[in-house]
Amino acid sequence: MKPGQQFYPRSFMARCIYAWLFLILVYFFLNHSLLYQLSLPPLIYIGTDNTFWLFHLFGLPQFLLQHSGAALAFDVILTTSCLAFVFIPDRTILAWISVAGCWILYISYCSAAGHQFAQIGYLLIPLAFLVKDEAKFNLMWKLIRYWVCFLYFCGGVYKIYYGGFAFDDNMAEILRAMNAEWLFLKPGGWRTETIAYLIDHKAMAQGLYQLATILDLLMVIGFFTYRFDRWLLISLVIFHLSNYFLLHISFVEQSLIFAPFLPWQAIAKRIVNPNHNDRSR
Amino acid sequence: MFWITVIFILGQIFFMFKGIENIPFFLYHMFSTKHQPQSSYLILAIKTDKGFFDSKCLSNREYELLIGSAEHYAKLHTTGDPTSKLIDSRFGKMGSELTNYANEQLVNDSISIEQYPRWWARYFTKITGGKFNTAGIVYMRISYIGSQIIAKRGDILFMEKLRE
Repeated sequence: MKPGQQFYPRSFMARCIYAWLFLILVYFFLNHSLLYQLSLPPLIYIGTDNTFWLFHLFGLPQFLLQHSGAALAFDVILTTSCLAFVFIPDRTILAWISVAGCWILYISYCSAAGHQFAQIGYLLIPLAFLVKDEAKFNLMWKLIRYWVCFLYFCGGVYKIYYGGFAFDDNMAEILRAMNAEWLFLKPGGWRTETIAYLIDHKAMAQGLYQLATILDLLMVIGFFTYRFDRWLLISLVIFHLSNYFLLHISFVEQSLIFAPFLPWQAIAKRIVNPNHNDRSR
Repeated sequence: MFWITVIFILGQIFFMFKGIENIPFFLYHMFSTKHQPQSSYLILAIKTDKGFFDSKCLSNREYELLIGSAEHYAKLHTTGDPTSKLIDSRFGKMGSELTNYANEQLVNDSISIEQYPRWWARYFTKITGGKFNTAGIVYMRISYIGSQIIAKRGDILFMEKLRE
């Protein structure tokens, strides 16, 4: 660590991030999707992902999905370890249990739901807290921030590389495909009217797609400077709100990816110790 | 830490080059391909004794479990589990013991497939609070004229009694 280089407020962040993660788990609970609540689904889905294959070869998701007692124990351990880490952020073993639990939950849930979902924010961000040492944590947090920038930047590059960006009908077709069920079930209302308007006005719909691509590509800025993190955060929020509004892609699980772009030092300074002269990045 | 990062970056580049997602090497390429115009779309809808159920009022988690798993079931029901072929191509050369073990662990057998509609009904009852007597999944063909849709009911995938 170079002289003068400053640290993130790890303990404060651990409390906030794991409280956030705990709320996501509460959301899962309220929506009947913790493992115990799945009522022993008989089918599994493994797709082509080798990690899914590996987990299923060891039989872990099947075991948890087929034994209600084990599923209940798993849910209890996951949620209590997550909550306990909020109060004891120096006990990294709790973070390890929470992270392992979230990854197993993700794979088991996807297996039961028959699809591999892209809502992975709650898998990535808590990883930074597996280390206790301030310097290592600082590095981990920065690496995860770069990882998030990289994923979204790649999303933008893929949209250009695979041709979606320059294909005039693309967004209108995506809207038609993603909203067939919505338009059938909800024939009226302002949201339906907005979607229908965009389907009818392909150029405008494609303009939104291209704007989303640009927002994705802008994440590359995060590799070079922290100065625009506020704007990157705003663009991520707009991107996900638009996805939710037009394509019905919820981002509750993904919401944790906003965390690396928050001004943690300033927040900690205001909340934890307003008089403390906190070190800035 | 340095070497873990280097290995991770190399792994990410490798899987991007191969175009295969292997978590934690995520590939964010959703909606990036050209979507060719289609005149109609086949969707799955939930039908109950009280009419079509508004599955869009469910949370994403519940919706994925009810509709996502039903799409998976529909494929298995029609064509059987294609995993056996994948197991042969991946483990075929490693001996029959491993292949048999993988088949046992990874392939949905006919009993599991048969049990699915009953599980679906149980889960649906749980999240809707037992308001319906029967429920199941039907295919719907949604055709577009501009932004207007014409919905045509197709076959029933399954229909279950929720209470006696």
